[in-house]
Amino acid sequence: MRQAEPERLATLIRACAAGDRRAFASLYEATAPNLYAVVLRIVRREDWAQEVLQEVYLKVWRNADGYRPERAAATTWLSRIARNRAIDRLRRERPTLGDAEFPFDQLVDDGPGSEASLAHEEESATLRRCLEALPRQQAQCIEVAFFEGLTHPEVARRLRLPLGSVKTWIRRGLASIRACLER
Amino acid sequence: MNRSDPQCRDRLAAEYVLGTLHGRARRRFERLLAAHPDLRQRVEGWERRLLPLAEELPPVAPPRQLWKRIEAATRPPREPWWQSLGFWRPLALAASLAVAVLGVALFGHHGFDPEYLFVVRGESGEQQWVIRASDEGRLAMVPLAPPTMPAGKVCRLWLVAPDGSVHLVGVLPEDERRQLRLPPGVQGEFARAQVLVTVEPAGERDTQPDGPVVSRGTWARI
Repeated sequence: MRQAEPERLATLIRACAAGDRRAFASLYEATAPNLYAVVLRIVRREDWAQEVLQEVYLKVWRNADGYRPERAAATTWLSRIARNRAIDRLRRERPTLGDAEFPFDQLVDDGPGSEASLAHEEESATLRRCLEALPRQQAQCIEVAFFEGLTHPEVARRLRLPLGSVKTWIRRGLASIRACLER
Repeated sequence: MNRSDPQCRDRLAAEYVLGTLHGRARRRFERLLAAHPDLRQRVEGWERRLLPLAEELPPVAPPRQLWKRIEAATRPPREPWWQSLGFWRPLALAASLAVAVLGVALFGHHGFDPEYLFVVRGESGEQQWVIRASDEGRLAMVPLAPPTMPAGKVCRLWLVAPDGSVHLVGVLPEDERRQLRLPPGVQGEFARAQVLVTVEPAGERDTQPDGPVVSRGTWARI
């Protein structure tokens, strides 16, 4: 989400809780392109992604008073809502979901703001370093699972790897990430 | 997995945040979360660790129309009759049939066959207007029981094309049938367009719907 502005986002969320519609519009403007990217990558259909994103912001508007800045950064809170909604939607639609590749590259926003720096540039960079320190297959399993909201068997199918190995690598990878971040 | 073992709890929390926990397991975990602060803490820990990854994706601009919908859906109702109107409520089959019958009754003898119909409904489902359109690009708006509008407000009819572009059709008439041509920008694909009715200030030359959404849906093909 645009620039190092977690505090601004937290302020906007608090203002939403007080019913400030202009703050809601600013929050949407600052965060929707990131959350849309997250949701789209998981549900892989633009119509579903738009419906999910609408649900996400309705939830943000209604539950803004439940946001606790001391417990989670604004971007974390927003990403959590977006990811959970998208995964729920995927779970509901799964029986009809084909394996068609979605043309993500064509959807990348080249407009202003696309080079937006990260809200938690440092946290994100540290996490990236930890991911890159993992054996390649562990990192790959974790990234595919995370970005696309896939289950173990789906990750195994996508990467053409044995299910048992996928489970083991994800477990080990997560443990290593934790250790690396705590270092 | 033994859920009383801290390592297992932590692993479940991690897989929940990662997204690999799906279906019944995910729902069961969410129920456990509500009752176990320890699990919640573990989830929050993993969210702090993993969710920054979500910000690595290149941003994708959502269609502009989406904000209009969100904005309209969160706007506080000002008048009771459009208050809880079915936002996104699909036109039920029974309603479609009723519309079809009604449409033929209303339009059957006016020189062209009705091809597409849409009924604007009030809060309790009462039919306020019928909109009909034909493939030749003609459109008629017929008031059945239009609501009493607040002073200075009118209901406007819009068509949202499949590409998300919005086209103003006109003001819904209060007392007599009104017939006009479909806006040129949407003529070729109006059948796939969404019908949208919003409340707008009277007399303004609107180019975008800004007011509360009264009704929206798709055409019923007759």
